[in-house]
Amino acid sequence: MNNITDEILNKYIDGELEPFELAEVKNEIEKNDEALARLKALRLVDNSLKQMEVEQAPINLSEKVMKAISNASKAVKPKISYFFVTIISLFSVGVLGVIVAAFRSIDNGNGQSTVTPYMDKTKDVIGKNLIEFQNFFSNKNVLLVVSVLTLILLITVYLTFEAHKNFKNKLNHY
Amino acid sequence: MRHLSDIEIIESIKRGNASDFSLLVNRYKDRAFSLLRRILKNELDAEEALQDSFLKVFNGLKDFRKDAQFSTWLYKIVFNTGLTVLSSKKRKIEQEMSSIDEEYNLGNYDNEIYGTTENVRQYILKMVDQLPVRGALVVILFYMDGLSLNEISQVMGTSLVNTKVLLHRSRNALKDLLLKHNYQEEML
Repeated sequence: MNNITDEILNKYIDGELEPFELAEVKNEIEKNDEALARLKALRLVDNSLKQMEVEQAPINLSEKVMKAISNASKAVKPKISYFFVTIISLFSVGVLGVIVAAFRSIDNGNGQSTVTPYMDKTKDVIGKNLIEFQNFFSNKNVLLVVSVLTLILLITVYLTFEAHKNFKNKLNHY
Repeated sequence: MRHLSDIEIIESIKRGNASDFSLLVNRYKDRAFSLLRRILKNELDAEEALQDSFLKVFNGLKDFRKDAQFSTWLYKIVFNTGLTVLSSKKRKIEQEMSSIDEEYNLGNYDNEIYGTTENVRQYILKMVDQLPVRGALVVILFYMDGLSLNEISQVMGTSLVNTKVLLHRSRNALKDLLLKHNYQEEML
């Protein structure tokens, strides 16, 4: 090995030379002052760089980062939950359907109005339909259906509220 | 308190404990800041880029794969953010960054730094800042962060061979300066 290049010296200090190459380099360096000087300088660079110290980031950086994350999270508009919107819409359509069907059955002569004194007074103002509406709800089957639908609506509202609360908590947590 | 691994912290964040992200910030902020300061050569820019980097890391955690090395992934984001900021500042990024054939001409600053430093170690560390950006970053990631050349190549998006070439060139440039000032004579 007549010419010891910088490449070889870099491999030497990184311990990447094969044993036979290492022996050759050591042998050559003993005879070659210029190569020895380059090796010394390279070792000095290597040793100095190993003592390189990490610089300190600004003290309040963590707080700034967490605040930025929090702000970024708040800036994100919550997505509309189409699932709940669909459920409520279907429910509303169902309720309307039941009411319409009930009115039709009353029109057919199933209803028997029990007019209270109060309703007598309001009858002229609101009209005949309100009385029929009251009769409709006096039917036990209708009441059962409406109760079930109301229960479903309350459960849906509760679930929606819980989902919204969880989402808000998550945002605040950020 | 038990030292939590990066993955454990990430899992906790994914479960909804966003405040645990501060553990990762505290763990990596100094090293990431050192890297960015070298890229941007300005503390304010480095701080801004660091905040931006951590925000990107946080937003990207949901896509982070457990089998990957978190530090490598983070450094890659930090590195790219640094380059983006540098680019936006309209510096001559192509001239400085595009290839490994960067100019290792350290002579412009050599006399000034040589005259103001007290010892060889201080001199070398100051000259690292004068290396071309990629050369300096390889040195930082290799010596300060203890990354392997393979990891550095992933962070910087360069081949393993080119990464090694960059490291050798940087060391050689510094070595030549030591020879110029006969610093090697200080070594027994």
